[in-house]
Amino acid sequence: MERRAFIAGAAALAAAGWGPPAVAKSDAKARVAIAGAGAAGLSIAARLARQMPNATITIFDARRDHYFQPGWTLVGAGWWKPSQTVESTRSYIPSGVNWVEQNIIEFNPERNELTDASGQKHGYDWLFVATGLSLDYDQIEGMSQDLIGLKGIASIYAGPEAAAASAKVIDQYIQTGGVSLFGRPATDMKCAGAPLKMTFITEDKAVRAGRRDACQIRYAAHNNGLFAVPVVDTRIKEMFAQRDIEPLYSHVIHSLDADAKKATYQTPDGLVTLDYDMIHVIPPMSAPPSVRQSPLAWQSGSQAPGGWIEVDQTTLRSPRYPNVFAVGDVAGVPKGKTAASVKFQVPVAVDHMVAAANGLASPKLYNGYTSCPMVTGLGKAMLIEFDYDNNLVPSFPFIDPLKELWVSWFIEEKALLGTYKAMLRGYA
Amino acid sequence: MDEISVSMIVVTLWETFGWLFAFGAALAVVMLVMLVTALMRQRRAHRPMGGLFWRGVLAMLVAAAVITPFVPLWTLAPVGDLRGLVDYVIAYGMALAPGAVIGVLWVYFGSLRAPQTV
Repeated sequence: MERRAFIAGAAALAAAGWGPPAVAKSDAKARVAIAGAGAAGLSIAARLARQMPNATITIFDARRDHYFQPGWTLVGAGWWKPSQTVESTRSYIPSGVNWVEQNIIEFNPERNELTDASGQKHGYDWLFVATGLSLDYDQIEGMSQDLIGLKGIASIYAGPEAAAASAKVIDQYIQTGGVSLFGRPATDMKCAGAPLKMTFITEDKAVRAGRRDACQIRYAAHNNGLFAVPVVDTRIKEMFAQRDIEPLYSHVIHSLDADAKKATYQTPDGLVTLDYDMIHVIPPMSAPPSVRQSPLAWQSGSQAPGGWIEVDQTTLRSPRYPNVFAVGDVAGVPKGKTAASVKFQVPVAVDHMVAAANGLASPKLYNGYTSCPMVTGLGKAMLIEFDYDNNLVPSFPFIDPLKELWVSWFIEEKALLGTYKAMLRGYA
Repeated sequence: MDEISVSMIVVTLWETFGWLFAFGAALAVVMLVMLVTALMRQRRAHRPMGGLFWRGVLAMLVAAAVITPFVPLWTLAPVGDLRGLVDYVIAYGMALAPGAVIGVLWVYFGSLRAPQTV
């Protein structure tokens, strides 16, 4: 039995009345364009194919590989192989959905038109922007992606191979000892818990290797906190103290001298240069240039510098271009640059679009849900879930989000990938 | 969580475990058939089904308790790496799956010792 046939069987169950409840459906023959075939784009395509069976759905993305990015911390730890995070985009394109293997390089919402990298123009009635974001390594003077894996430089964000190269750098550092620097950029970023995860993982690996005393671990926070949610921030600070991880507050990486192994940080007192033996670099992040330079981006406010798309934070719909929605990393909302956010954003955005195609309004709202399975070492994690208002919103009330537990690790290591794939197929 | 459905659960389990899920589902059916067969054999032999059944349940529970510390191995974690009560409960719940196989086998082979009537 082929995978598609199995999924079709599950779809039959849904058709028999056991499927997801109360979603908007439309018979409209609209043209729907989806820019980006990442987690959000594929999930949107899968849901739209069911909720608007007569629509002409086209998804644009040049990437043939699809990455399970939440797995890159485990690759960076050396616990997963890079191949465990790579899938074929083709296998997740729903039947009946057109895939144009080109990136969108220009958005023209005034004319409801997109231009792909080959120069071809495409009209649409409805548009979902799900392009993901840009990793701006070049914003750090002296840093480039080519340095990852060399000269004590790690960075798990650049891809599965970069994450694997980072694992080697971390293992090498634990053997040689010295000073390691972790940190995060001052910009909005995807999976904002990952810098902390890599810090804890490195500390845990050093302890297990019996090399903790040889490793001085420092963490450069971009402001006076370690985590956006106050109750979690307090807990993380407590754990840093217990594990002798030194926080350096209000330190934003400015430049790097890879040969001299020196990193310079912007601080309230000016530039400060620190020596290191190993550094985990996380670049500033922004919307891709095609989005940033388009009229879709925020024109003012805190989201404008990153070029993120202006949307209502509860419906993910553009206020200026009501036939445009943005989902995932590129959406200009206060929180939600994680796959877990995508899982909760997609049903809302799709429902609003389909209802609008029928001339109706959807009652569904996105509350800013996001999740961070904070891996703190091999076999232990904290399952932290929260919303726009920094309320903890645990999916499983019996799992303490502030306690290191194996069951939270189980969710990260075993359950997340399956749930993610089900989401790509529009079932989670 | 408002979108939980049978199809969502089935697809998620399939995507998580792949063929292991299909194998587990098939094994569950086989175990159910073996259990019913064993209990029917007891009945035909005019021997009480309850005693054998509850001994099987006990075998399942004991086997699950023995297996529980090894469950973390499945997630790359060291043996016995359980940290809180919820960890033990969930790991024990998972261990009940192989424990149930042992329990059914206990019942099945126990029923074979029953004298058969024609």
